[in-house]
Amino acid sequence: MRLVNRLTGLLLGLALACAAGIAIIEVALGLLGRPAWLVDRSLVHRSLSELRWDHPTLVVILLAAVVVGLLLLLAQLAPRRPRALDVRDDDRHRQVSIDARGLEERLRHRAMDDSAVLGARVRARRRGAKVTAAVPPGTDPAEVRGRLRQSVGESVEELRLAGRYRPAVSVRQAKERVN
Amino acid sequence: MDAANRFWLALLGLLLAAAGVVGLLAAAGAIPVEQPADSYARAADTVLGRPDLWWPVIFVVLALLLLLGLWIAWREASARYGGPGVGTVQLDRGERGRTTLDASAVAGAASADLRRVPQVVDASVRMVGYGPVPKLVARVDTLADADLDAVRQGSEDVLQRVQRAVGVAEVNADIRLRPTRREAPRVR
Repeated sequence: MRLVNRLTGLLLGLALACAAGIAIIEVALGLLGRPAWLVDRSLVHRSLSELRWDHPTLVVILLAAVVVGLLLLLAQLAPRRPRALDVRDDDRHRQVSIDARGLEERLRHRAMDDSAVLGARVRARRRGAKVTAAVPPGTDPAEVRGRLRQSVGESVEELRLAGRYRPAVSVRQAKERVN
Repeated sequence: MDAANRFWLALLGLLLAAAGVVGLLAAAGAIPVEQPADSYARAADTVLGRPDLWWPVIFVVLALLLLLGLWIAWREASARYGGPGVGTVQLDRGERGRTTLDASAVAGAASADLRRVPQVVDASVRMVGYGPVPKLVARVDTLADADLDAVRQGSEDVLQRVQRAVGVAEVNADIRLRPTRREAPRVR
């Protein structure tokens, strides 16, 4: 999403610059009495002179503006995964954080240390991580869940993350190995 | 950077949606708004009535929009975590010359030092601020199961060496630890 936002910003900036640049050139050409470069002046003049709110093209543009605007707004307001989580540090000259994907990898690695775990997936959020582990058929998931809660919890404690951070563990029996 | 992008894109979305709703209500005749053709005619009359005033104003506004667009595009294209890096800084200036510091050389040396810390797989350092307390941004990739306290201690030793090299009492550092699947290089 951050990359999408940057690309959107880049494209909007370039579009604004291009539109303003073309407008400057067209206005200058018009003032100098020269023929237009890209924009058909008479067509623009005629269209704007006859434009009414209920013009079908304008209504479509307005509908598109509402849809795009709402999508943009919702996309920005939706909660987002953190990029990194702050680590407690007493030194005021140091700001230490752990990358969210790095945290996921670390917790996944810790979960995989359990001999009963075939595969594990971790999703780090702002206040907690969700660990999903797969065990072979016939293994008691509750027992593995208890062990993983302990080991993953210890791993999180070792990190000394700022604020409360709760790992949640779920275990399911799997036929296939998951990553 | 990300927070600023979210803010202005949300604001843009809100303005677009609001303008669209107002336009659709006007199209439906629910609110009394001047027709676009009338607004255009009035604007054209205003500009043509005082061309010596309005054309320069229009040019200035368009030029500002052009600059704004270029600035936004440049900012999005060049933004990096922690801000732009510092180039060459002047440490001292005497009658016979001056002493300068290439910040990228210091950052490169610190990166190489960090890579030698046990359990560190890769590292990169940038100097993003210089002054009485220079600021460094470091990304440190570690083994997935690395002892992060030991890595932090090792990073601290590197920062102490940077302080001595630059000749300052303290440096601010933003250290991002990133456990990875990668293995430590066999030869250091």
